[in-house]
Amino acid sequence: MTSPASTAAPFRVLSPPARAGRWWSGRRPVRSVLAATLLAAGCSSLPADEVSGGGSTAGVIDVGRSEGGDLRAQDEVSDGEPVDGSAPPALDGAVDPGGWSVPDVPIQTAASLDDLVVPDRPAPVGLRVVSVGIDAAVTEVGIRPDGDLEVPAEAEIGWYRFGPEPGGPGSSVVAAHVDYNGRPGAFFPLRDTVVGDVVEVDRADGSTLQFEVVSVARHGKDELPPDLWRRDGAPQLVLITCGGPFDSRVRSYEDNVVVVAVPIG
Amino acid sequence: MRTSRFRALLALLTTLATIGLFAPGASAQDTSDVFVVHGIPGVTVDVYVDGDLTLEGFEPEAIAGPLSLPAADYRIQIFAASDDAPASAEDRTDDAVIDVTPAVPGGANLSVVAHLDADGAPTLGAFVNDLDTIDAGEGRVTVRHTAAAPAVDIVAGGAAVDGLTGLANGGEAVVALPADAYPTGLAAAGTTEVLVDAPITIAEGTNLVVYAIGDLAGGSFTLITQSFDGLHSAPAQVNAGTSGLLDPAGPSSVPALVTAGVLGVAVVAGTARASFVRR
Repeated sequence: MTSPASTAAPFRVLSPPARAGRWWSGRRPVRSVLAATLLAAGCSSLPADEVSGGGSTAGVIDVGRSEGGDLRAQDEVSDGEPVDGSAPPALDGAVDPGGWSVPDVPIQTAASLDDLVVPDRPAPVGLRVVSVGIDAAVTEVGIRPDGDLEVPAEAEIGWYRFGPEPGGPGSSVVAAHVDYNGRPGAFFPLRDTVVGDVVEVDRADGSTLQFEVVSVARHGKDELPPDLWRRDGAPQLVLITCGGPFDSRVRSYEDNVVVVAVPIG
Repeated sequence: MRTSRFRALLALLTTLATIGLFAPGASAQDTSDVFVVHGIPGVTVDVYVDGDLTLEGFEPEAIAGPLSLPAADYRIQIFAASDDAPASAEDRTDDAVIDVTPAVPGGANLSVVAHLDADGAPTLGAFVNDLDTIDAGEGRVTVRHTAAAPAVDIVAGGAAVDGLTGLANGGEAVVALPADAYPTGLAAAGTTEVLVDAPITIAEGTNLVVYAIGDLAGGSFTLITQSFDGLHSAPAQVNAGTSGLLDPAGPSSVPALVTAGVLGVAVVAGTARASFVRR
């Protein structure tokens, strides 16, 4: 059996506000009200446990079907069953007519599966900190089965591919071993970096980005600042390796050495 | 594209204010963030709120939102779109497709979907969107069966995907998977023969919501999506040293002492960062 959907399916992703409001640009009040409307229509059937989160079945308002099979009138369904803990506000009009405003509600066409492809980004392929002698190839890394960041073997630097690319919005993270199998790793000299050092990143398109170190710090491995992992905001490049006391029983250092750099120019 | 026209806006807003939609002072837990999904192919609708024409021409496959809504009751009437929709629902000569006076709950993130039930009749479904953070490296996929179609399993590589089986109209399934592209498809529940190709790309830290909408037998079946990103979390740890070359007398031991002092000052100054001293 061949489904018409396999060819017709227009998958469009709900996109950021840049695409919003195509229909109703400049008509915010109406958009908002519409959303309120349909929203309200759907919510009477929400069981309490869903409202509190974690529900797995949609609530449904039974509107039946007309005899002709087209979209015709139904008897009013007004179960209006209030969900626990959501008693409606009083309807006595205790509202300052000048005090309310209508929020901007984007309306857009729903997205297609075909548009879900992750966009190509300018991946880093090499990284240098000439002042301390770091010079290694960069490869893409993800997450190990145990939840830790993947770190390549001693000769390479790993770029955390789920975060931003170097130079992109947010905090781009690269990591490499300080040592590995008894040999110095690509980031063995990272601890010697100082504020003001220049970090160069070669990209796959042949271009090179320059960053300036703004901080060098050591953190416990479970105490890395959340800022290192942000996906938006001002661009920064974060270089991570290990440092601090070495626990020979588990063959692991207790701390991370973290260098933060920002784009030059 | 159909031109949208809006009427009686002032009256509508007055009405909404009266019933408390925009009432000031509602606390955060009394409001819900709401998206509206039009999942009935081929049917453009007019919407009335408490009798007033609010929106004309809300088209299929459109998503509106988010809107932060205080909990309240509203009378909602939805009609098939008219070429000359009257400003008041009382003046409609046709009958409402949907006519409800529901309560909007508080404290949730919702997607409300106008869709077909298993028999092809229009209905409304409300789903809670799971916006909890996701383990690093993974994404979440939510599949919602809102189509006039039999129950389905999601299959990949000849086998059902754990957690994505037995989906019937009005139901949903949610699983977390490593971020990747999957050659998934839809099969009749209990079978593995792909009836509809539906390859998905799951982005890390994103809840991808897939709606099956339309009428399978009637040829209008399709899949649309809604994505919630920003749900990522940090890797558990970064372990990047195995040999102990720096310890106990390695170069890091000296900075460690210096760092301890600098760190103390830094904490007082409101930052946890410490600087190493170049040897």
